[in-house]
Amino acid sequence: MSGSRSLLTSAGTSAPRRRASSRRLGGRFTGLLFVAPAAALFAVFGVYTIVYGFLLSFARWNGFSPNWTWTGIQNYLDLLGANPPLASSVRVAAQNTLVVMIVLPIAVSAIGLVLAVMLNSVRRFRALLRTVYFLPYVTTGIAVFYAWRFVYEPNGSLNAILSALGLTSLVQREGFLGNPFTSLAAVLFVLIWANVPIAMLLYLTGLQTIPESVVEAARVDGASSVRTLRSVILPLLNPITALVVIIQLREALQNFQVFLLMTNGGPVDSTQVLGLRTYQLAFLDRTTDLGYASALGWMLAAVAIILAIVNLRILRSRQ
Amino acid sequence: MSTMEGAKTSIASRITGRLVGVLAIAAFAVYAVVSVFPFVTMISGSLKTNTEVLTNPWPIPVNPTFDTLVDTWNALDFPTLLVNSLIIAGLSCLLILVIFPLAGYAFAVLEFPFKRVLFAIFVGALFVPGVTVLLPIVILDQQLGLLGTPWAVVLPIVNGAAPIAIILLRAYFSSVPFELHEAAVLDGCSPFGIYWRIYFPLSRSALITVTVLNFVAAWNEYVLPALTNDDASRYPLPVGLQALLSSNVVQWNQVMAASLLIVVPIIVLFVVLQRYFINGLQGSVKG
Amino acid sequence: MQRSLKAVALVTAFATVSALAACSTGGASSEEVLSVWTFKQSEVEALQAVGDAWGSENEMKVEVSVYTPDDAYATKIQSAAKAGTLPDVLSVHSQGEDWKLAQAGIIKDLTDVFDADWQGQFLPGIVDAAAITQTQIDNSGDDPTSTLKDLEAGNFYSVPFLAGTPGVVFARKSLLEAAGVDSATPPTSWEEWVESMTATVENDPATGGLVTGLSVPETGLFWLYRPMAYAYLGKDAFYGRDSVDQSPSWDSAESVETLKLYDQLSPLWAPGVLSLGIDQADQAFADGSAAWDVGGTFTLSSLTTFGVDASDISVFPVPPSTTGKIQTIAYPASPLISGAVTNTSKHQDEAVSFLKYLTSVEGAALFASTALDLPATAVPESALTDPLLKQLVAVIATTSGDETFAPNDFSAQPAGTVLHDASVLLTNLPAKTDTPDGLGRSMSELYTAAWAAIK
Repeated sequence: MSGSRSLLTSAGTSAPRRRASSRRLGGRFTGLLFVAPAAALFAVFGVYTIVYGFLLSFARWNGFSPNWTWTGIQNYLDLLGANPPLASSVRVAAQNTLVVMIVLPIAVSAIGLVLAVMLNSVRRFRALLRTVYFLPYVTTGIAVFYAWRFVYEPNGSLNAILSALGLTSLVQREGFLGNPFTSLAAVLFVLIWANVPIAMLLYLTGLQTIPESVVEAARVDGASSVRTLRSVILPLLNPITALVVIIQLREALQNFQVFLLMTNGGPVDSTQVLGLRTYQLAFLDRTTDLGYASALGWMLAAVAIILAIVNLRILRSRQ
Repeated sequence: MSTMEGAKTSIASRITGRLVGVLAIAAFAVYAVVSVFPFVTMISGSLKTNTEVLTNPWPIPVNPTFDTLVDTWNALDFPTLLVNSLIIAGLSCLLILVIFPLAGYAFAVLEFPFKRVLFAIFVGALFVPGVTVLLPIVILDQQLGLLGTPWAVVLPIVNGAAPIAIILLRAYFSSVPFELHEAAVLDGCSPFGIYWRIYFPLSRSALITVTVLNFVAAWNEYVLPALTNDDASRYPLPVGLQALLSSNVVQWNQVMAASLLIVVPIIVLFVVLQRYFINGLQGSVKG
Repeated sequence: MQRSLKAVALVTAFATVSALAACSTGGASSEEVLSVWTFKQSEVEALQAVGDAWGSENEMKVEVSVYTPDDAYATKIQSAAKAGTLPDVLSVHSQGEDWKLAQAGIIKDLTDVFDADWQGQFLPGIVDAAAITQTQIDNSGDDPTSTLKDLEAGNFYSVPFLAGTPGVVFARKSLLEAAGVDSATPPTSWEEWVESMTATVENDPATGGLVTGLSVPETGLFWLYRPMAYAYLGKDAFYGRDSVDQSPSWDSAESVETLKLYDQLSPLWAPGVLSLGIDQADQAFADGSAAWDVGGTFTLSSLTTFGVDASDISVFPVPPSTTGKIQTIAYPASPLISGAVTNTSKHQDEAVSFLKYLTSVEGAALFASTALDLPATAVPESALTDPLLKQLVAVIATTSGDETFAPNDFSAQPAGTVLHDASVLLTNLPAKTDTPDGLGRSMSELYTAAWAAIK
């Protein structure tokens, strides 16, 4: 009779009974021993690289010269407006990124959840279906982008399907990637498509943690499956949703491969996003500047952390 | 709810239910096609010649040929690169499965000083900008003398897997009924014993998920291996694919074939592992 | 119990495999190795061929490694510089990348060894373009990431071995004939070319259009717009427009006229051109999906590999407008890729010797025929066998003066991202999202801001 046990009970709010038991377990420092390997690895690889990157955001460096040039917070100021050509490219990228940041988490978690629930309840072909829906995550890379480019080309399959359905007004003469008005949506769809499997897998894992007794209780009360889903299962999956949303926010802010490989930010900067801009500043521009790239990267990290905290608060208050 | 109302609702809801059901099946089918088609494009591309890949974009090859696959196998030096990829991905997953469940267990069940701070740090590490971390990793690898070895790639990958692995495993461990824990304590089990004998075996699904996600990430990693190695015989598969992409004239059929060859081992792994994925709800976790 | 045994076995297996993997392979080789890095896959074979020829004379083994794409190459150099694992010879883009690396102290100043004899072997204009000028040093400003102020004017920091010029148009004769255009004589003016293109597009819109790799916006700016604008505005106005005084300004009448001329192409681009990469554009042309392809001498090897029939292709430079200042224009070859010697190399003399061989007539001919590209050295036509390559050599001018346009001379530009931003703005015209007047104003603002940022 464990009742509904919620996941991710935050540290310190567990029942007193628990604390008493764990104290009997080898003392207060056993926990530290368990965490030690992860922490040690982080101390070596994580701390150095984070500090390096953070310090670099206060300097200018093209990656080749032996020395950095310290500039204090000027990099941040430049990106936010003090250096107009730089700032305006950041602004354009920010607008597009905002769209991605809103659409991506919602779409990925919604589709992922629906797929996970469906996969969890079917009995036949389970393995096959799971593999089918998992394929996008596995087939990432250049081959996938090539396949999607073909779909979006002027003589590609999407235009062909639209014509066959009689929707000729939607047919793009320039291709969906060549038209600045449709390009962002087209690339965004590929990004969603590539990320849904992660959400699906995480939700499937999360569904394992819901005791059957809870669902039974709801059914006995006469709730339909949809209501059970919405009022019982979904809140219990909040921690998974939080994780999925956080991962997608990071994707939205940092992903550059999809945008680089499909459109390189074009046409006319319509698919330019902050992740790509950071990558261009670091590696692709005529004058690479790792200081600017670092500063931009850290600003994005700050935004992501703030959004993640907000998101966690919202989800927790709904529990 | 009176029986009459109940009956009316149930007829209406049955009809809508069926309609929704049909639409739902249609939607799932469409999405299945959308999920699969690039993979199909890859397969068909590997059976075509380069000219056909460029002129016939549809998935059915006119004259299927195995030559492309054979040529690509040789061009990539597939066996060598495959071994390198297996080493990198295998070592990474092994380390991840050793280190992070331990940490997840500690965060979920144990109490210790700095618990909140440490957890916040691991979660925060998720947002570290990847772009600027590349150079310091190479410098660190060089100073630790790891350049040219698989560890130069494995250790950063494992470190990068920390946030998601720890969050997921902690969530999963937290949901294990506490009675099991108490019973084990009463039996005189040590903390590590409880972890190893009870929690670890119960978390098959979470462990499989963590393995699959990180295996794919490690398998597809191509920047770090290229930067930390000067010897082409140490490269994993994605680096070989990148070389195919930078010929003066790209042989797209070979690119498709190479992508297919690179993806097949992962699919095999996924198919094998997900048999062990626990199905259904947590009703089976009793006793 | 069983599970722990399995686990132990797994761990042991992996440990063994990884230990084996970590052990370095190969014993000591008796030969000295000269390591060469490049960023172009297509050059590997050519460089290796030259390396083998040179190596057999000098008792050294040349090892060529390639790191692509360009950003991976840059990162590889950066990390090797930090880790101390740079090679002996680096391939670099000429007129820019070499100077950046020299400023950073990574590559050697070659002025002393690059003597007059050696200089005499190159195509005209190459050596002048390869030397850094005082204007370029001054224009680089003080910004620590792009400054070149530690370099000396007139010095050489790398030796060019690959040359070329952009601004070359390839046309498919059969498609021209089908539209009633005379394919035997290339158009001598912009207006004539636009007329021919209009005819081919009208004849068959699906195959008669113009392509270039516009998904990389620089192609439109560097390969097509700049040559045309230079001829229209004349040398002073063209460079003056990009200078700090911006005289004439980008939104002046004559400048906007060049944008209007470029806008004449807007209905003539092939469908989907904005999403085409450089190779894809060449592929489209090679399969007959476009009648005109703008590229450069470097497009040659792509087209040849695609198996285009050389007799069906005509080659001509981007023609000037009849209404502009310069009526006949020529494109001298510019250095595109150079070889540099790293300061950390333990075989600096050998590296220089290798570069000398690479740029000798013998080495350059070998390189050109293997790479199917234009060498920086003046190789006699008789030494070349490829018919398209011969046509291209004819496009390269031997004159100098106002009528020649140096396409890679960006000395007038302010440092920073202005060229990329200008390229992106220019794609508004093919995308039909702006007018020439509006674009003129945007460009003017862009350059004003870019120069202001340098002060």
